[in-house]
Amino acid sequence: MLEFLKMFSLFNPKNLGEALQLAFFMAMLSVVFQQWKDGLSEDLLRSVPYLLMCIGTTIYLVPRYRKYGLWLFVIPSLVSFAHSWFSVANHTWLAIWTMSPAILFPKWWKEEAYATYLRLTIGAVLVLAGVQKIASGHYVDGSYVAWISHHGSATEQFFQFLCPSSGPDICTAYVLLGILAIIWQIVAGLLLLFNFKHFIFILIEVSFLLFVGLYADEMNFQTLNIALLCIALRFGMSRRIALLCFTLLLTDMVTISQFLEWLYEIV
Amino acid sequence: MRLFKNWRKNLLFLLIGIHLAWVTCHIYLVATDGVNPWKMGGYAMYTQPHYGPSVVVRSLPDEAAVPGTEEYYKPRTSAFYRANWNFNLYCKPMTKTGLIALFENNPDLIGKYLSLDLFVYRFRTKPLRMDPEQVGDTVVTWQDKNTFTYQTNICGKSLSPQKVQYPN
Repeated sequence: MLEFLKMFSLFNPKNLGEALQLAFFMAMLSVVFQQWKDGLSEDLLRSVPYLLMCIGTTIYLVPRYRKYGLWLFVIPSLVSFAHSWFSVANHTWLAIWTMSPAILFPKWWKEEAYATYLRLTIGAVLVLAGVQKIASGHYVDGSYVAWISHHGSATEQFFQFLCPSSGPDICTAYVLLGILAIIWQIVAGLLLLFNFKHFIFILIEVSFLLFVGLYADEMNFQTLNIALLCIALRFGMSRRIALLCFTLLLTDMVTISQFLEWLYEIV
Repeated sequence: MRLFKNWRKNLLFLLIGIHLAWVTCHIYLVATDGVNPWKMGGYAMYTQPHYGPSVVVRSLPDEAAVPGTEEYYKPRTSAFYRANWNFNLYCKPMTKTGLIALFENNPDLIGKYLSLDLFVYRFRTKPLRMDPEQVGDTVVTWQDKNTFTYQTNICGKSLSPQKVQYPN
């Protein structure tokens, strides 16, 4: 009974170590939710690892067995990744690169090296993704923002109001949005690489992630990013942020676009 | 010996190096239109709309086929796609394993003179549209019910024909 009650101690972090572990648990949950959304495949090789990852995530709640929960999460995820690396979503890809190395350390939450690894990985990926956007040209010329504003999901069409007269064509507002997105992505990446920890930067970055999650209607990826940032910058995650992240994951199961469609039918 | 004393930290640095090397490859492949920007890490996702590659399977009646007389099929393709990495590497030739999986799951295609055409979607901006573009094809010819030859043209390169013993 006591062990059962201790499961919930994770949601009442009393020190930095526990707060970091709470963030890691939310990251695990985001991966589990995202793979559930992808659907359990009939291919046994994908579904057995997924079940083991779910069990590992659950075991992670119990302080005494947390190490085993971590291994039971990471090893099956690596097996599943090896089987279908060419088609897995970027969410899983990022999770594999960032979460798997935690098993190298007996107490990863005490290791500055692991936090540095996360910070450098996320920072580099942000910068290089920004470079990709510049290289493609579709943000600088506003064409991608114009396309999804007219052909994207319900939430992705949010910025249509900026260019009501241009129709599906490119307009200045779309160009500016595209350039702004690139600038912030690269700046955020560089600030992470240089270990800039100012509260304003964290606030803007988390707000940006939440907004992008709403816009793209994909909250589980943003939950993963927020959780990883909490670990990388060694802030840990509070109970309130964890509750917010959990709410975002639940929202993602339905999707905002689906919710808006239901609302439209009712109205 | 210091290398082994700090092996965990050194391994993390190695992982960062490997990751950066892969991202660099991804940048190069996207720039040369060789990979689905949304896959294999997806570092270029959200740079263009997400339209995955697709294969059109058509049968030509004979060697001297007249364009327009083809028959199009919609076969079961999940194993075929998986064996070919879902065609996310656009210039990777179709594999023997994939073709065997195609025929195992679609025995009605055995014996037919087939062309498997690989299409990818390009984002064009003037005007805004997604254009399907054929990047290659694989022509399959059956010598008998247990042997077929396939010849691939992909990304401007013509590969030599390969003979395959099809299992019973």
